[in-house]
Amino acid sequence: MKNKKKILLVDDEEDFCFFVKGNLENTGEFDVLATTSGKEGIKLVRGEKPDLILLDINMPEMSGGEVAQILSDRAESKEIPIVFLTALVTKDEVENESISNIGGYNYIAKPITTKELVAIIKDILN
Amino acid sequence: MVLKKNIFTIHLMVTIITSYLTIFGHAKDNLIIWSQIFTVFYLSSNLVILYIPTRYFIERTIFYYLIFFHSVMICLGMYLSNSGTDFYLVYFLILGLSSMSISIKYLMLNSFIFVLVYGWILFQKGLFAGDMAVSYALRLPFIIIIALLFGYIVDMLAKDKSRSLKASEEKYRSLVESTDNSVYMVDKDCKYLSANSTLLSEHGLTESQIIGKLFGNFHSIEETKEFIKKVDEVFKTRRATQYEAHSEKSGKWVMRTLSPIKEPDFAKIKAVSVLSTNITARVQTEKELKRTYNTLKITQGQLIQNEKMAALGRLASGLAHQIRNPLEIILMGIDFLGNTLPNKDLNSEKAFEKIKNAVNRTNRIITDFLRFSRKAELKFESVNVCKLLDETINLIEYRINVNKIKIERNYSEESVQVNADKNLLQQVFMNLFNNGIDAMVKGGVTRIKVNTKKIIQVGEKTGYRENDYFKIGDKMVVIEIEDTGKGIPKDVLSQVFEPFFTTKESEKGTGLGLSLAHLIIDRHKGNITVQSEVNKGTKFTLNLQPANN
Repeated sequence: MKNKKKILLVDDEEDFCFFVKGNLENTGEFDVLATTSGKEGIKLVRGEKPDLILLDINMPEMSGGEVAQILSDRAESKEIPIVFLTALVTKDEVENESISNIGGYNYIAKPITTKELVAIIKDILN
Repeated sequence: MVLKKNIFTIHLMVTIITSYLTIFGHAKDNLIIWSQIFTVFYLSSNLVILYIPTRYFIERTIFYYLIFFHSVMICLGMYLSNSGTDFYLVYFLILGLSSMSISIKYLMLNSFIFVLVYGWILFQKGLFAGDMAVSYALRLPFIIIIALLFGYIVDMLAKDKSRSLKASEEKYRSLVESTDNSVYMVDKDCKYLSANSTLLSEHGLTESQIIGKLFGNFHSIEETKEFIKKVDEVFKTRRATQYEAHSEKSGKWVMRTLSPIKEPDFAKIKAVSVLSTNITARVQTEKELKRTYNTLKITQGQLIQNEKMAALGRLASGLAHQIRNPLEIILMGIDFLGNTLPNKDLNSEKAFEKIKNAVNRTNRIITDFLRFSRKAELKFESVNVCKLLDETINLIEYRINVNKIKIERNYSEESVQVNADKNLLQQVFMNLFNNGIDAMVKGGVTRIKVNTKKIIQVGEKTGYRENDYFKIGDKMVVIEIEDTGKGIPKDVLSQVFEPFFTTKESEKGTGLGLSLAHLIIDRHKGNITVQSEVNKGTKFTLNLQPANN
């Protein structure tokens, strides 16, 4: 129970958030905060200071790229690692979503199993 | 026909009058029987004239024979009859006949001989001594004078006729000479009978160098063969004919019009006139037009295909995104259930596994599709085609063995390199091999051919234009992959490169393999074509860019 990592999940698919939150928390290693809105996500970062952010790219209102841009501009959230979740595959396609200027991010291609997701998160946190 | 009729009429008159004079001319008793035989023979000669074919009457010799025959007969009749002094009147008819031969010399010669014979007979009968002596003697010069008069008139007419003939010939000659078309005449053996100056200058010859020579002396064997065929046709059908001919020597195209030249009054064809018009410019324009039309058609097809593929690319990325999100939810949901369900048994574990597999399969289709869609980045490098083909075959060795497929390789150059994305090109080969194997249910042969070709012909994306993939004169690598399978029916052959078109069962094919192959090859600035015959097999031909060494 001690030293649980705090993960922030931002994805406009509510059902996805529900299952990912459940699956990650079921491992007993993570606390997961989930929201379907980018703006809400930025607020949560400020308040909760998560260890890692899982960010969907294609979202209405504010895209994952924009969220990442805002977060990396702020001193308090600059150091938090961001992992993009995308249903698109190749790197150049992600870059076309106008986030190429940020660089240095990790991408996870959907669909992915819990096992794989956990492995990637652990890898980044260590 | 007219000539024969005229000759026959005069002939008939001569025989009737002569026979009359002979029969009723108080023949000597001992000669009566002979004069009767003579009359029968002479009259029956008319029948002979009737049966002589018309065409002999155009010759001058028939006159010589006839006039000689009549002269002899008249003299004979005169000899047989007792008096016979009036026979010279008949001779005037003969003069008329002989004047038709238009030979004044012959006319005079004949008249002189007749006058001599006539004079001799008169002398024999002692008529120069009687009361009528002067009258009889005067007949002789009279015959000569009449003959001269006849001869003169006929000669004048003939000269006049030939003069007007010459004038009209001159007129037609200038017509033939002034044209810039070649005009000439040939006989049945294709020997030149005449030629106008255009033809002469075309061949750089004089008239004497060409007249009497064969058509084949101045033309290629192929051209001559065709010409002879056409001349024979004119002789046989008796009708004009027209054809286009190409001279390899000069590179020119001509339109030849062959017309029969018939002999006057006869149905027989004596020669063929040829009018040869230079149509090189027209043929070239036609060719150019045809080529432009073909290029346009190909370009139109390409545009449609490109537009389709672009739409497909957009569709692919949109579709992928839309499908993957729910797929992800299903995967995550399965994991969630797996961890939270209280009563799990082996069966539910199995069920979860099966659902996961289905999701993964769905994702694979989407991934495949997306990988080849427009936005994917290609990594071009120098690829050894033969090696890549062999590697691909190794990957599917299991399928090849199971389906009893024999592989026949025909690599003309083992080291030929193409500029390509290795993985994508391998995907294309794999698709083509797998298609072939699927088509050969009872086993068969897959033939692979690789060679390098110099591009000489305009075709799909091949030509001189800026956006053509292959330029005339460049080299391209040609890969042929052929199977001996069931083939593709003609009516669907044009659809095989279209997305979602498949003839396979739904579990086996997504209908994307060939359309992706087409897309990939297109992105390599190459092209892929298909030829197929039902129950014989299918051949795919790939043209690729060689690697720059």
